[in-house]
Amino acid sequence: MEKFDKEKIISDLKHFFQTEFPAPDIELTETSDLPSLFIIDSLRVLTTVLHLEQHFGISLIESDVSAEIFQNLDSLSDFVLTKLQA
Amino acid sequence: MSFLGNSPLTPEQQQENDTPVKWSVILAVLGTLLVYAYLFTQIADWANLPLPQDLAEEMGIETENIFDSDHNVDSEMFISSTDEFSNDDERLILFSIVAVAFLCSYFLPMRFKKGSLFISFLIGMGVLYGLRTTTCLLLAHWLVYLVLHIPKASHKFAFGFLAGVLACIAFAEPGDSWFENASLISAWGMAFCLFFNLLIWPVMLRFKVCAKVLRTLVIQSALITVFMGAIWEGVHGEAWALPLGVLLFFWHWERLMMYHVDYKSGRMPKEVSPIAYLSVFLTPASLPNWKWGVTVGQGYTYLENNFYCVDKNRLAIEGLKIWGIALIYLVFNDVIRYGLVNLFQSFGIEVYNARITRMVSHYVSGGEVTTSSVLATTVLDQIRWMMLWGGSVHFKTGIWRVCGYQMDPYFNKPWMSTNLVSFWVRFTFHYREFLVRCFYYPTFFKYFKNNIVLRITFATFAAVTIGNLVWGHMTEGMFYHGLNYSNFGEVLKTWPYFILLTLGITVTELYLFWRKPKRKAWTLDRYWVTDFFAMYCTIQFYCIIHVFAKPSSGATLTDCAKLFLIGFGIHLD
Repeated sequence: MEKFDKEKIISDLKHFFQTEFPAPDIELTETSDLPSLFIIDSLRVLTTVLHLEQHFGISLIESDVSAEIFQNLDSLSDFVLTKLQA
Repeated sequence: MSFLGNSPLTPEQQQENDTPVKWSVILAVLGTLLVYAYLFTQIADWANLPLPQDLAEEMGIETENIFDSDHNVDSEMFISSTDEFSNDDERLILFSIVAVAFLCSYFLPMRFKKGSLFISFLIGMGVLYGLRTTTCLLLAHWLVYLVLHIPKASHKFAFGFLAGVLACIAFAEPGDSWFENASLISAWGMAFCLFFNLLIWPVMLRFKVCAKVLRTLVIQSALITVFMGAIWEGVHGEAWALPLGVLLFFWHWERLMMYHVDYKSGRMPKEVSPIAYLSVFLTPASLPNWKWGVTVGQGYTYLENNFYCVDKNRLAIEGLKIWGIALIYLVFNDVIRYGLVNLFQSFGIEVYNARITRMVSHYVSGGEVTTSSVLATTVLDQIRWMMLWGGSVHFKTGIWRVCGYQMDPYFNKPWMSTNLVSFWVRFTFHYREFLVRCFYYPTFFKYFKNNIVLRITFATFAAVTIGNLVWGHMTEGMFYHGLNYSNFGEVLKTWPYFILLTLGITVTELYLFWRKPKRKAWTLDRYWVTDFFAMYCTIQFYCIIHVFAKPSSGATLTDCAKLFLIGFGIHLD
């Protein structure tokens, strides 16, 4: 199984957001506000959830879908890391 | 604001947004309310000012379909289920209460702001509906509060006693003397106090399952009452007449469900003060058109994350803009509607006064209906409905905003939607949130986790068919038309609408999931025409399936299906 550390998770997530929801005029950094820039509708939430589950092999529950967790790459990678370590 | 809502705010952030007083903003808010009062009430007459219609005529504005017989604007903003005062007087009370709520929320320190909104609501409600109805509504919410948030030991006696006092005022016949009334209130207070302290709370604390069941029962009390009342009427032939306060409480069932979702998710504190709970549901924004846009405001977390999340003056200005849009809807609704009807008729297309039910009746009685009529009537009916609702729900949204909440508008330019998923986001935003949070997410995160197609299909079905039909249309229909058994059948007859909507949204979700759009809609390039075409198809699909949702009496499913097909140019007769 592939090993993930925070840096790798952020890099993978960055790649995911840039390819799935292309926004050439927006620079995606670790602190960019994902809910207002990328995860702007229900379908994008679901796409992101499915990616997290399939790519990182984690399982999300309903209460994980929140602005706190999906706030930016930093918070999202922390969440993935916590799930992977659980 | 984003789909996921705002992040939780710290008290310090909220305090920072309680920015210095700007008198221009205060004057603008109060001035706008005065304009509303001038247009929709009798104050012009009382103040010997030119009446709105006379002024409009003097200015050369066409006044047909705008004003009523008393020369002020004939609008669909009203206070539901009460005839204490005339419509105009009720509106004046409403605008006054909104002004008081705005000033309190603007000037009072942060810790008193929410409470002041609740108190303003109580005053308005008391004046408009009377003491009994207000107390009854308060009691219903108080009981929910006591079941969801078991009080601290030091508060248990007082909180239980208060429930009895409220119940006594709401339901008991008053005695002849002061002593008799005091005894009555004490007896009810003690009875409720003992009931909660000796039975309800100990059982809830000891048996987690009982606590869970009881919480679900109070949250679902509206739906349970609907089913029990309808079955009772079916068996005994006698319909239940619910006290007005209880009925008004039941109209909060969708928001109560969202509050319960927040409660169960652990995203809100288990200990919430009575004022914090009551100010979720009972604010001046509930007063106008009580039964319309009942999901506006959602649950605890949404409101908490949106309260003073930006500068209060900015929020007030945004509120004013939304009130401006509401004003256009309220004043010009009929002008636009009749204008569109006349426009289509001038092209020889019969649109049945923009009412699907009339078209269905015409068809059922043997009349001929053309494809263009079906297409145009179904669209115009939705425009009519949206404009009718737009005025009051935007006014509600504006109240929330000027009082410090960054409330999303109920309608967000739905005509910009180029697919059904985007339409679902833009049309009836808070109701869609209710369906997503109470039905879509619980299903999506629980079932078919290894199969994307089944996962999306099942979650969409749970939200758009089951949630929308049973917890949305059926419950609402029963409260509108009475707890009669026959009303079940009337709502169930509309099932094709829900299935078609589910199919449409599911196919769109799957299509967009697999074939990611590489281009942003409405970008000014050579694909702009395809955006326009996609927008028309999206809106037309949503509108035409309403043939099944609004059948007239006597129309069979076959009649509706035939009309639906006529919309696609297929004539089976």
